[in-house]
Amino acid sequence: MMHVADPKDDLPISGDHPGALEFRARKPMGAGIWMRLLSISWRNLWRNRRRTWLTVCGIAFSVWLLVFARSIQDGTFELMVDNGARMLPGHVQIQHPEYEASPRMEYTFSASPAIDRLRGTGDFEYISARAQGFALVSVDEKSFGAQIIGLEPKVEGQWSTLASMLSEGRYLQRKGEAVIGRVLARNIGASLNQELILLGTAKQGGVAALAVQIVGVYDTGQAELDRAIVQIHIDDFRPTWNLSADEAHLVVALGKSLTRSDVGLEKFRSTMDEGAFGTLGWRDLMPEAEQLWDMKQISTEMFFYIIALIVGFSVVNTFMMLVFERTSEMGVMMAIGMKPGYLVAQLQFEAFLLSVTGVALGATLAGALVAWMGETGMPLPVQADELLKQYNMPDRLYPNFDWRALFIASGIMMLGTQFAALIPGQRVFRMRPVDAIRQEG
Amino acid sequence: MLKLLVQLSLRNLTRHKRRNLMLFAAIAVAVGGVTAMNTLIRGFQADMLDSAVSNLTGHIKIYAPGYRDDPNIQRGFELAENFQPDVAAEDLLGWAPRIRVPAVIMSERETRGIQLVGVDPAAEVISFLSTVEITGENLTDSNDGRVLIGRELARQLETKVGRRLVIITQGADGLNREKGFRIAGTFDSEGTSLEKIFVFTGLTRLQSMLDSHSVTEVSIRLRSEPKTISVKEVLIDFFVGLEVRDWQELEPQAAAMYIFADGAIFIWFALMMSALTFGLINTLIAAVMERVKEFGMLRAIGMRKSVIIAQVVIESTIIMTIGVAVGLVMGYLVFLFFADGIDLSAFAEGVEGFGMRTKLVPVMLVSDLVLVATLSLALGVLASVYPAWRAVKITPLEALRR
Repeated sequence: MMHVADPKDDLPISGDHPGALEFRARKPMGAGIWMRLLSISWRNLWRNRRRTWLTVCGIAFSVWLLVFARSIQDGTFELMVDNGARMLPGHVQIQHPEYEASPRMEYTFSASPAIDRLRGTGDFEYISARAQGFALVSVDEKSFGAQIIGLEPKVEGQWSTLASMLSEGRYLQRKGEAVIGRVLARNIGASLNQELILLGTAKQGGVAALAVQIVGVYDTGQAELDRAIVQIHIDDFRPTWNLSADEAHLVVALGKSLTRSDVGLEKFRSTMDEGAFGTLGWRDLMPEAEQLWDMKQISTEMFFYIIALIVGFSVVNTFMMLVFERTSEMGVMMAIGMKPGYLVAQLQFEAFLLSVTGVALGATLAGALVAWMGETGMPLPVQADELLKQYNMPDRLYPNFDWRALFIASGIMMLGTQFAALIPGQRVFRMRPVDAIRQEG
Repeated sequence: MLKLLVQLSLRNLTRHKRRNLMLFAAIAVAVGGVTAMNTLIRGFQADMLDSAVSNLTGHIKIYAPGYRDDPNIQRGFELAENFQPDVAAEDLLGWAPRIRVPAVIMSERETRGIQLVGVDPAAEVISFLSTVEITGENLTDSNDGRVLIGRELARQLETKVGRRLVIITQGADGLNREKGFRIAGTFDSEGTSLEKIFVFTGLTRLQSMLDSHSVTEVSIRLRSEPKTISVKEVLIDFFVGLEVRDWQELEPQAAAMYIFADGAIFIWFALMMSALTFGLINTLIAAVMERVKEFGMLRAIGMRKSVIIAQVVIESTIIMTIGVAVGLVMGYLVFLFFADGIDLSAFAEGVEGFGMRTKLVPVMLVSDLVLVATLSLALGVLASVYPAWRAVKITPLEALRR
């Protein structure tokens, strides 16, 4: 019935204790008994290897799932935001305080002081000015409305992903040139090297007219960018729209990293006069990115809780079986003087060892997988190409180990397991040794 | 024989009421969770389809060849008076002829590029135009010479209802037309992307402004998506020489998401069921191992191996059936609880980027329930393979020696 190698070695009923009565009379205090209980628990656990493994695997599976899923999301998110920022908006924008609410031509400011202050933070790699406005864009007889962005190609050409997504031609280099989106080009029937006429309203209300040559056509896969944007040199924009040499609508900056851009923006804010500028970080520029992210995290966690519940039931089940088949053994223990509390404690130890093994296994698997994929990247299905472009996703994912997910997952699984062991453990308190011994194991 | 086996299995199940109760609970949570999750995914799918389709696309759209590459009135086509393709009335929600051309709109202060859309307001029950909130007045009919613009566009142009706007666009002769319009009203759609792009006016008035009798598109909305393929074929035969495109061709991103969601249902299922399998196998093995003597005895008195296997499989199937039934009911209750929709407005911009509305209304499909039930039962059988094999391995001798 008792499969423990030699109970006398482990139980507090060995030669030191001449009899059960004496054992009961003495208060078995000290660390010794707990250590013994722990080692008995460990052995007990492996009395039924198959069952223990199956339960451990259940726990490991759920820990692995949450940690791995969240690590992938974590790795994806930064890339998504960074890719999105590099498409056009940048990590940080400094504007005229009114410009965000109503982007009007007259809301300009002097760019160089803002650029100098951004540079002073040391957190930004690329900083440049932009001037922009709407205009009628035409080739021959055909015309379309589009946003004209005057920028500094020398700076933006270095970080802009749009600049590398040209389907034809090259990116802007000097004055007198323009790059336009593929859809816009198709709509107005424009092709490379043709002349593009821009017709808008200048800052003081006069006509702004400019002829530029199309040197590149870009294809980002994002309808809004491909349909309605023309990029030209800021030095073409300023005189045409009656802006002075240092005037701009935006100063765009790209941080040394996404987090550095946050730090830099904070520094900028703390040194500027209240309300002197409108300051926008990537969260303001791409609010949809963070919300999408929150939503994804919530759904992943909900999913994990359901899985945890399923695994939880199977852990309760394991302990129910365990208590049931050890009933007579427990009866013997109680008969020779072991208090029910110790038996319950022993079950709790078993639960602890079980969940620790499971969590360790799950975390190791997740860690190994994340480490491996962090190196090689996880390829995504080719069919998803259309979607990936739309959401600024890379075609390979590089997961980033999510420690927070590991803490959440292991915390829940371990607490859950202790609790699961407590449910059948209550039976022990109701057991009468005589009945228990008589029960078939 | 089968009756005996079922009886035996049932008796075994009642032997360990609490243990089996736990197992039922685990199965029910898994099946219920998958079912509830499926209703959300289907809701998301329906929502995305609806957004894509009502966003002036329709299930099917008809163009003149070349219009999509060069959208202007010269690439329009004339519709016969009261044209009537042979589409069953019960499949059709409606069709709307439109002119849709790029234009530039100017207020006293600002200039924007927009899509100028000539519509017959009565026919637009099929598009988002019928559900938006309108400040001021809607267009009255096809002869209405005023414009309806988005609230966001009005804000950007710093104008309001009753004021005038100038619109420049290309006429049928290829030359630009410039005309003043009074703003009848502004519409407030979910998100701002539609509000920034579309400006509506009466179809007939726009035709006279452009000196044309053409339309550039006919959009058709069906009552149910699966009819798209068959109706499309009818329309191809009817509109000879024109391009007939369905929503999947027109909105490839939405279509890709749609397919992706189909796949997600299987991924959820696989993950939930994997979590369940550990516990299921565990319990089944326990049920076999505690009956070693019994199986040994049965073998000794001549029960065949196949019968023993059958018994374990039947037992597993019964457990699964009960668990699945409870789970489906649970999933249904969750569905009812959320039937009014889940408010996602806290994530408004994010969900809009995903082509969704801010209210997610779950959708329950009978086919999904059947799928989940079938796959779960199949899993039940699969999970019993090892325990059954274990049971067969027990020899009478070994059993009696214990």
